[in-house]
Amino acid sequence: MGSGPPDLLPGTLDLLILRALRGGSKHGYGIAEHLRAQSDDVLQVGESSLYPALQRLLLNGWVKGEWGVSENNRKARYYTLTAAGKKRLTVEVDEFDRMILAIHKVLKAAI
Amino acid sequence: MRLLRRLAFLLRRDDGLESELEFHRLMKQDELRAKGIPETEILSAAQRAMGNDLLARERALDVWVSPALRDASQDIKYGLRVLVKDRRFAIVAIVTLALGMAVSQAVFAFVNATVLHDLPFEDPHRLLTVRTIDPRGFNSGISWLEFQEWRRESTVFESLSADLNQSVSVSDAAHAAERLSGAFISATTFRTLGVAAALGRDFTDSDDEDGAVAVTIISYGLWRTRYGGDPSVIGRVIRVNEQPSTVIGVMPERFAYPLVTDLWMPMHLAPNLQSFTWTSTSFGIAGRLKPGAAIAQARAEVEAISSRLAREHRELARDRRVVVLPLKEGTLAPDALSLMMALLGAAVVVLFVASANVANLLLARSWRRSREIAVRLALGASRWRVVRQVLIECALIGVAGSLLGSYLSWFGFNAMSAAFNVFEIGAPDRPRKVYWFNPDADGAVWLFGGAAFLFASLAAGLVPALHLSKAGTNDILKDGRLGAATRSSRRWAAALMIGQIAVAVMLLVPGGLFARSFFGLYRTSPVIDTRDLVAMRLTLPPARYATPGQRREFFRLLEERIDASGVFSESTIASEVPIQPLTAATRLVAVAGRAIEPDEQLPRVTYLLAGQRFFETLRFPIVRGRALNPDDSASGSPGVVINERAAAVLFGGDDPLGRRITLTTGAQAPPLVRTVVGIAPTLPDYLPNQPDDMAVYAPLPSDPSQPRGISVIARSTSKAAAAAALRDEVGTLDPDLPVHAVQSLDEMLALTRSGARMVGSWFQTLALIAVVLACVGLYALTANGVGQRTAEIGVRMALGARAGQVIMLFMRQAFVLVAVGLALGLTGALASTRLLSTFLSDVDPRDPVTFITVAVAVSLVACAASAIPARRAARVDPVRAIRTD
Repeated sequence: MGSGPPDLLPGTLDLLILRALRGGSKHGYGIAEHLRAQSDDVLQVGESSLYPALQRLLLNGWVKGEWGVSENNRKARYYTLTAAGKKRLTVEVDEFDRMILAIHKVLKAAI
Repeated sequence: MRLLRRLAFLLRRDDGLESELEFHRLMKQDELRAKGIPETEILSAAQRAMGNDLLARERALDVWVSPALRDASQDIKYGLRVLVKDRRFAIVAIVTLALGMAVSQAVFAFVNATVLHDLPFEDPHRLLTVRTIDPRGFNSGISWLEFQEWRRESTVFESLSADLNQSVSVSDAAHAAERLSGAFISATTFRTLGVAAALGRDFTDSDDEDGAVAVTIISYGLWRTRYGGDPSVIGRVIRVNEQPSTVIGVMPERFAYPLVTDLWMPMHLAPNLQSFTWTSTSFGIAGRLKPGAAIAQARAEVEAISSRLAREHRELARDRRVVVLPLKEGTLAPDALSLMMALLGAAVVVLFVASANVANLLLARSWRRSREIAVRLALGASRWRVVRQVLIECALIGVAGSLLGSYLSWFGFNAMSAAFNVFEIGAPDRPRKVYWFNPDADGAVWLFGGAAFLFASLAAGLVPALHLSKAGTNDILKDGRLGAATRSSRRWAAALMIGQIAVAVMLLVPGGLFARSFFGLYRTSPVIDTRDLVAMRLTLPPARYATPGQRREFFRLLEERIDASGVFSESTIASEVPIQPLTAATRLVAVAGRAIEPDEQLPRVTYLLAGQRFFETLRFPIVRGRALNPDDSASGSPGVVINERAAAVLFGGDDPLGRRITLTTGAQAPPLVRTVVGIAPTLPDYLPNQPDDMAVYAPLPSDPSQPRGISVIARSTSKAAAAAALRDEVGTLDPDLPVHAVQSLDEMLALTRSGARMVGSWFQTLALIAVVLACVGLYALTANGVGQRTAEIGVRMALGARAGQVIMLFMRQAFVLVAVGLALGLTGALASTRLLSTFLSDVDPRDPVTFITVAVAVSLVACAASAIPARRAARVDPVRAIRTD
């Protein structure tokens, strides 16, 4: 029931969340919507992946969570990228690019 | 940083995940609503879209707290619920474990305080003491003369010091006279021990020279109580034994040596130091080995000197032994160390038995729980998870049992420590502990407690856990009970049970022997009628009563004064109370006129000087001849009464009446010649392991040296009244003479037996606990069997078995176990009770009555314990039993 993105590479979800937060703080639902919209409905992140991932980021100190009021007046936790998180994002993006490049090379060679 | 964040998360009351997920759900509902889903379906649709939010929350929590840890806390909660539900089981298990923990911890703390703690002195491992063991096995100190020889000749000691305990009277301008425990010591004593004065100074060698100004060092306690902690006490002149003496120092708090001592004087001030003979072995020794020297060197040296002395001085007993011991060991009775180790061993065994019983109880319970466990296994619980659950329940029982046990052990420890109370002459109601008994709980005690807890929990939990881990899920589900591994576990349980019964028996036998020895002392005819007899002591200050003539005159006046006043219905004076054999003077005795070989070892008699009404007041019967009368002291060879034992040893079958004996102190002093006029019964041995004492009762005025102290023994129902009355009478003779050591003869008797009673009560307590534990064990084991074989019982009963037959089915096993356990235990007891012979009087360590009583009692109690569950088996309803599913 769309409870997970189609086989993401390990660690990619964390990267995607960090990237989603670069534009400003968002709540969990917002992040999921953002990812779905940006991926043209391909990446449907379920709660059971999203929230543990968010806790992982909190634990590592890459994001911080603050309670606020949502656009329709509900209490929600907003996640913001920390300085460490921003640094992490660039590292992970570079890492990801290298990985994708490597995969591309392999696939091309196979063809 | 991660750790800090993790901690912060754990400490937060609300992780916020729930409200966060709730928010998510509401947003989802809004989204669906916007898509035009009808309101009635929104909730379920949102639910479908969300998936398992519980799972989401769990996985999010897993990030912070490792899943294993969370499982454990769940297991603990579950375990607590199970134990609360099965309350009876939990209480029995916890109390069982608590008993084991309490006993082992109390005994360990006691042994630690007595044996394992170092002496509170500097570098205590280099401190030695020297003791004399006389031919009778008595352990005493060293004579002053011998000490001086050693100090002159020995080379392995850095310093060697002697001490002499003596009560002294202390008075000063501001305070009334008080009788306190004092010690005359070599000036080097405190340096030997490595302890410095807290205030003022230590003795110097010049303080101990003849003619030096008299000086005193006082204890911290005396300084606080008598002198209010006033530092200006240093330099103050007080009166010790009526002689002025300058206080030069105060020792540190808690320092006490040689026993509990309140003031110390240099040795040269000890009254009549020069008249002590080779056989007055009342001096304690403390020596410090030179660095690097071994105790063996000291032994060789001391042995060489003492055997030379034994050759040179005829009065030194040839078969005495001089032993060099670490100072610590010298403080304990010779067999006390091995006895304490035996006690510790027994306590550890009791802990083991307790754990084993909890294991058995758990095992018995696992039959009842097999269905639950099977279901958990079938539902996919891992085997480790099931085993862990059992272990956690054990740990819970372990924690509760240990806490309760530690609490109980405190009482046990206090009760045991009473063995080392020292009752002071001045204040018998304010016991103090000997200096080498250190009751402070230290690391070792905590470590032992922790180790005992771990051991007990693991030992109790491992067997049932292993048992469960081996059981096949299929078997359990099929039969509804744990089928596999029963044979080995039954064998293990049976072995355990046999061991327990054996241990209980091995503890009961010494417990019973002590009880018999103790009651035996009461049962034997006391000879003396001690009822309402009060003894009081007067000690004559040497300064005013320097000559025997002065002392004889005082005793005559005292006796006259008491008789004339009529304050006591019956009273007498005597050099000692006859039931205190250790403090009495002794003499070497021989039949007059018999040639004595130069090498001959003469027998030693208790030499007691009696006042005129001695035999009358004590209601001490005379077997033959007559009691002493005033004329006996007047004649040329005064009359004496000897006891039956002395009559037998000295005269064999001959009639001793009218015969003459010689008494010597062993020194060159001319022997006293005395005529036997009467024979008195031998007093029972009030001390354990002591041969019947030979005794000579002589009239007080006839003694040429005259004692320095005198006991007044009077019949009175009140100690206080007797002491007050005596004080009044003595006051008219000598106003500065304190009456001290007021004690009833019954109290004295109780005190002489207190050692045996103490050790006995330890064994009895241990034995009682072991029996209770063995009963719990037998109960659990039989209940185990009954639980396992319910279906079988049902079949048997359906086929016509009668209740008695069913009971016997289970009791038979108990009989076999008890019989084997008894046989092993009695054999073990027979082998080990010899160790106790030092502490037992009047009873053979192989006393058949004790052994048989124990055997019968254990059989009865054990059978009763197993009969309870066996009877339950007989009440099983066959229909229900067969249909257990």
